[in-house]
Amino acid sequence: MPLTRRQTLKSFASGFGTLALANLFATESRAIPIGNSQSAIGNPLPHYAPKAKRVIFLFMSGGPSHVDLFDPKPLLTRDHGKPLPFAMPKLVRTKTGNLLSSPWKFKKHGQSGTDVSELLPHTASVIDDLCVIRSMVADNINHNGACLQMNTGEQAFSRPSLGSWLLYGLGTENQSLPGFVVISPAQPAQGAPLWSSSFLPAAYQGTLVSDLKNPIDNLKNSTFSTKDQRDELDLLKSLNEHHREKRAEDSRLSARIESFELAFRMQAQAPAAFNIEDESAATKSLYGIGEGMTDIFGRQCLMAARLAERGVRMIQVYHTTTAKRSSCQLWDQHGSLRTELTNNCATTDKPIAGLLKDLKSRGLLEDTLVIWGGEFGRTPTAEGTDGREHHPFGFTMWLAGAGIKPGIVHGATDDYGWHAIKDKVHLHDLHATILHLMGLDHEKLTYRYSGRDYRLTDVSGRVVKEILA
Amino acid sequence: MRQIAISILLLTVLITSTARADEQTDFFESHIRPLLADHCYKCHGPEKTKGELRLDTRAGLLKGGKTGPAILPGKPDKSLLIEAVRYKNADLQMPPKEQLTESQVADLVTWIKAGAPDPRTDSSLAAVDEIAAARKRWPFTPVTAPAPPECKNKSWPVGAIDQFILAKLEEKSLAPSAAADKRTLIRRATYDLTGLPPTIADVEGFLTDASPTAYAKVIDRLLASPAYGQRYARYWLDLVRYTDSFDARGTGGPMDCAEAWRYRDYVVNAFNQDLPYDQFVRQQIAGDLLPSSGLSTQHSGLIATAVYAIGNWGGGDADKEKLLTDIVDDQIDLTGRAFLGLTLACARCHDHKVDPIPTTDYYGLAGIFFSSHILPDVGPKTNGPNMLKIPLASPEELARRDKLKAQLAEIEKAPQPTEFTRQSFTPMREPARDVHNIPGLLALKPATKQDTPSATFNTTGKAVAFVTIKMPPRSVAVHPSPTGGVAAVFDVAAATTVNLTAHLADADPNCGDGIAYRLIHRSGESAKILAAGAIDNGKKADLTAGPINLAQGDRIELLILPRAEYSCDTTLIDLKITSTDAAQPAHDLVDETLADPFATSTPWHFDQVTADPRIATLRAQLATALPATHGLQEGGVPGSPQAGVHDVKVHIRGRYDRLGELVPRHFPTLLTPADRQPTITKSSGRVELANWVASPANPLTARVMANRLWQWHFGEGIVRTPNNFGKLGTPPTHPELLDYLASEFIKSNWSIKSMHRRIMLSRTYQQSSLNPQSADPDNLLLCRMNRRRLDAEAIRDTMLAVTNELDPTPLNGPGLKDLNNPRRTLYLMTIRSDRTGYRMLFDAADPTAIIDRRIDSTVAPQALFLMNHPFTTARAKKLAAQSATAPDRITWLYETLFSRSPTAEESQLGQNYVTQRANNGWEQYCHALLCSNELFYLD
Repeated sequence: MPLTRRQTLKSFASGFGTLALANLFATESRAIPIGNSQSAIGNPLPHYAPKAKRVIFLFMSGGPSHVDLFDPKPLLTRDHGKPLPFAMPKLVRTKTGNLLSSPWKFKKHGQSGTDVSELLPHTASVIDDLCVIRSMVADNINHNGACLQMNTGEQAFSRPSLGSWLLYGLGTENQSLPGFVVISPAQPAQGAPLWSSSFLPAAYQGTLVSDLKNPIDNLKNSTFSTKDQRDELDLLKSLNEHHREKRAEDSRLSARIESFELAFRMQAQAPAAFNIEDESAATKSLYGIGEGMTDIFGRQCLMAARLAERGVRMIQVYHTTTAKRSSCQLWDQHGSLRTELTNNCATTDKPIAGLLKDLKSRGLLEDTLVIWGGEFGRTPTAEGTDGREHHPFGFTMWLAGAGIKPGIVHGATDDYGWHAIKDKVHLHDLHATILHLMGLDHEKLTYRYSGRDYRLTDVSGRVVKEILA
Repeated sequence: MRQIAISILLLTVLITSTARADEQTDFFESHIRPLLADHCYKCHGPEKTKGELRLDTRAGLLKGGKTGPAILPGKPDKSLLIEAVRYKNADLQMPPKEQLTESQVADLVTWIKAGAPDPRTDSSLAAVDEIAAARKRWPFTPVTAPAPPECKNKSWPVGAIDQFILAKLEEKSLAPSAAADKRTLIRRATYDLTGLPPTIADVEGFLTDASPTAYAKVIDRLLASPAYGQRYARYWLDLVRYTDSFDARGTGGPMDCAEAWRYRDYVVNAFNQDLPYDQFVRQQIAGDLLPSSGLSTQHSGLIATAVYAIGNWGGGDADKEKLLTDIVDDQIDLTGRAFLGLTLACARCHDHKVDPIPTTDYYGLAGIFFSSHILPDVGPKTNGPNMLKIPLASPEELARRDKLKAQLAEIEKAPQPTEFTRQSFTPMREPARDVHNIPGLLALKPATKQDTPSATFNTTGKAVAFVTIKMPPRSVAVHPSPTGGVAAVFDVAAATTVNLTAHLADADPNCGDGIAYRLIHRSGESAKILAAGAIDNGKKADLTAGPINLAQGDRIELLILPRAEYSCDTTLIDLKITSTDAAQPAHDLVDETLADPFATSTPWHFDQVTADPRIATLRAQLATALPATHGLQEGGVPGSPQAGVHDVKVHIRGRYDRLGELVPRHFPTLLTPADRQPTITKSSGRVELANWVASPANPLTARVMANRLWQWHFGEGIVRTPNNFGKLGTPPTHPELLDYLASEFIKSNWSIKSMHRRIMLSRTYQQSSLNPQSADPDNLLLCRMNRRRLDAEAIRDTMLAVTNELDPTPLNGPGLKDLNNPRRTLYLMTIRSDRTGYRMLFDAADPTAIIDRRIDSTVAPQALFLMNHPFTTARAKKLAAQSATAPDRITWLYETLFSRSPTAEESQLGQNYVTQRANNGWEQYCHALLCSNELFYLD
């Protein structure tokens, strides 16, 4: 039976059993096993049949403005320049001024008739695939704490990230590639704590790809030829076998021998996974690759699709760089809303729509969960004359793909886009829902550390059943 | 094996039974406690007890008030509480002003129906019994000095340690392993104490020394080596989440912990000088308040407290109250886990679920840290706080600088008429257009084109913003330089009498310390000050003067001068000159300048001004920044709600906006009964805390550190959860041995070096690791030595040592970013925001966490680093070159890398490989040796 393209891609790591890999980690602080299977990097069973096998999280670092993109507010337009007609919450960063209407027009799109800003024409073209959540709520009002919470559930201290929890719970599907990849040309917010494994074993942390041309470190040897390297590895094997004679009981020694063989295979195979030049011109243009504005983010998105295709469990794509500038908070429009938000949309809109279309045509959207959003939204009130402040009290994110009801809007903010008032979705609820779609029960996915069982959702979280297909 | 199986079984049972209790507790915590706290505690809590009813404790609910018990568990319909909240009885309606919602009432009913599970321990009632009972259990009992047990085999033990170990082995009919051979032993001891391999000479010296003290001499030599402190400091730094920088975006900046390296070096010195451990602990908690450090290095006590400043609390936040509580939580977590082996931080939000540590104890301890500060202030709402920098100087030096500062202030405050002469002024003529790429933003600079001083002109009709500066439409701003001022000068063309009005405003309120100004009328060599003063950061000033008689050739000068700091001193200026004779033209600085900013024909020009030379001299004397450290100082963060020395209230569920009872500062009741609690009033209580933690009477401190020392030698502790001696930790495999070690530790005046000697001289430590018996697969009873993988530091240091490239000298400075530097890996820079580097790849400590035990992972990216990274390939090349002069290259390589000779077979393998290669044979062979398991695993 001929293998499908995906089967071929996934099988290229064969020859290295999961058992050996599971043994690569010698640490006492093991999880309480999930179900009756072995946890860790093998392939432990999920709690129940998953709808999604992997996640692509498109992170608009800095806080995209919901009232300018997905949450139109006629009253905001009507009352432009007037004060917010109710008290602002106690937690504010800087005092903002009066209401600032969106400079952009909204139109209903697709069969679902969902409103989308004129800034996002390409996203509008795939709106029937999206579930737009207009009632997101988070707790922190600064980038560091908010990004940390969106990624780990905790605002101040070190905790494992969403991707690390997924790897810990589900293992990896492709042992020649890292199971959790973060594609971010510049450092978002406080950096590595956002993809940290924290107290989970280090193997579950995200692998950062910041240089799109050389995504993985140390894959090339500039000194020896591949043949020399193969011969040298054979020599190393012999040396290690001599050493192992008297130490046969120590499985770590054989695991380490195997790790060199795996590394040798990775050298050959990993670059191909990241090599978007393999793709057709048509595919590249779908993502806007080669077109000034969209080139960089387009490459990030296409790389994400290729990694998803090869079984990487979680891919996080941070928008941190455009052709013009690089910033940890690109979507942070305290000022220059009119120009900068326009630029951000112009650089990401086509690649994101392209990604959704491409995933669909590769047959991947049905088991890939795609998430779009930032760490918070922005105030409906003005900062200066052309800016908006940070706003965690009600904002928009969207989900698409595996297990998600397509073409719906869930939840609502008040008349001015300030508070989420209907069907609030706290980010703990979002995390619970993501785990659920991946076949994991957020209350059962625990890790014992320092005498306590920890969860991604801490003591909160509710699966948002209303948005599940 | 059976023992393990049983303990796993027990653990499973424990978890299942606590799971249900947890669910019920969770319901109480998420639904009931907040409800009671929000609606009831105000009148029925610690402050008021209306109707003699308290609802803030379980006992209070059950006992009830004047009308009887508030609840009957299991019977909601018979509970007064439910009757009251249902509002059906006109005489009994609670809360009196605002009825609860239906769902809140339903929650209360559900809860009472379930038996009213209530985890709140009442510190005055049941909890006391629980705590008293716990105090009688290990590890909260006083440290004892157990006598070593008798063993059947009398000849094997050479001391008490061996007797404790052998007795347990004999119980299980196990025998210890044979002694390791001398080569293995010196290799083990050298790595253990220094993190480096022994040299060929070290090994030969030991082999040829047949005296019975040969091995003891090796240990003494290693303990005296500076490399020892560099090795052991790293273990300690792991425990205290040490980092050189918080965030790559601000490395070295005012918000960063740029001085953390001083603490690193303090720890190195403390180990090398064998600072008694109790003093080491005391200094870290309260070194700023204690008389002497006992170390040869200066200011050690101050620097030691930096351990509490380099914490992990997520950086800045608009929510400053949360920031302060997060900092204290980090500090309590550190104190608990690193010094006491207890997870105290669990009690932040609720009474500890497993160990008897109520929230009142957490906040008793928290008061001590809320009464201390690591920040100069909480920082602006839009950003994180700066770190406190405590100057490291003698009191005399600090006094001298204060004097200089006072002199400077004096000169600035009371300027002399001769302060500036005409020669002090030089016009700036260098034009700049489209500054910061803003069309219409123009500037004038000095001929040297340096950045400051400058005059900037917004010629557009719009406000512009650049860097942190905002300029209104059509405005003029000037910026002084570090050493001098800037002036707008008006040349008088014809004699007249005028009135002056000037307006000044700081255009950059985000930073800086404001500016000083003068308005001067200069006539020939004489000058008259019309106005002088200073404005603070972000402030404005309006000046008026006149009428003034001006002669031809006179000048009006508006001077802007820096105060102590000049970098954010951009100042908007305007000056209007109106003649008393209405027929004469009026002059306006802004209007006339903006008409043509670079023209030389207007009466205005902009000059740089060299200040009074004394000012420059004084500034220069003050400019050399004093060395400084981060650390703790007395009093809560200045200017914050926590300023000063004070007790704090319980934060209900960890929330600063829900406060419970006020708790006096005290130590955990579990460890200190009420009659031995200190009275802390005037100071933070850190001295008391330091003395309490470091006391021989504290049951945990010595045990926890003795266990760590054991772990650092054997790879596993006697308690295998070294940061958690509580109920959920692993019980000790050899409790008597641990107590023996702890008591000897105290008896030796807490000497860490004497503990190393004691452990390493035991036969237990000297056993071979080659004993594949399966009776004790986890080696819990130590019938052999554990084989250990080198840690990240030892791996890199070894590669540099075997090629003779390692520079072992202390760094005395900030961490180094370049992996290729020849210093020890201890000195590689750690940045919390960056996990891409070498250290994390090989499982070095994650600087965001308190690491008591390194993870030992073997993953392909490590192999890729070894195979392909230029650092490794360069070492291979160097090693090949060095071996070239040896008479027998392969033997030399084996002795250098593995402290042994190759077997004939191994020699042959190497020879064959090298001769089959056309080129690079030796390089590849050396590379393979550097990657080999034998180099990475220590027998």
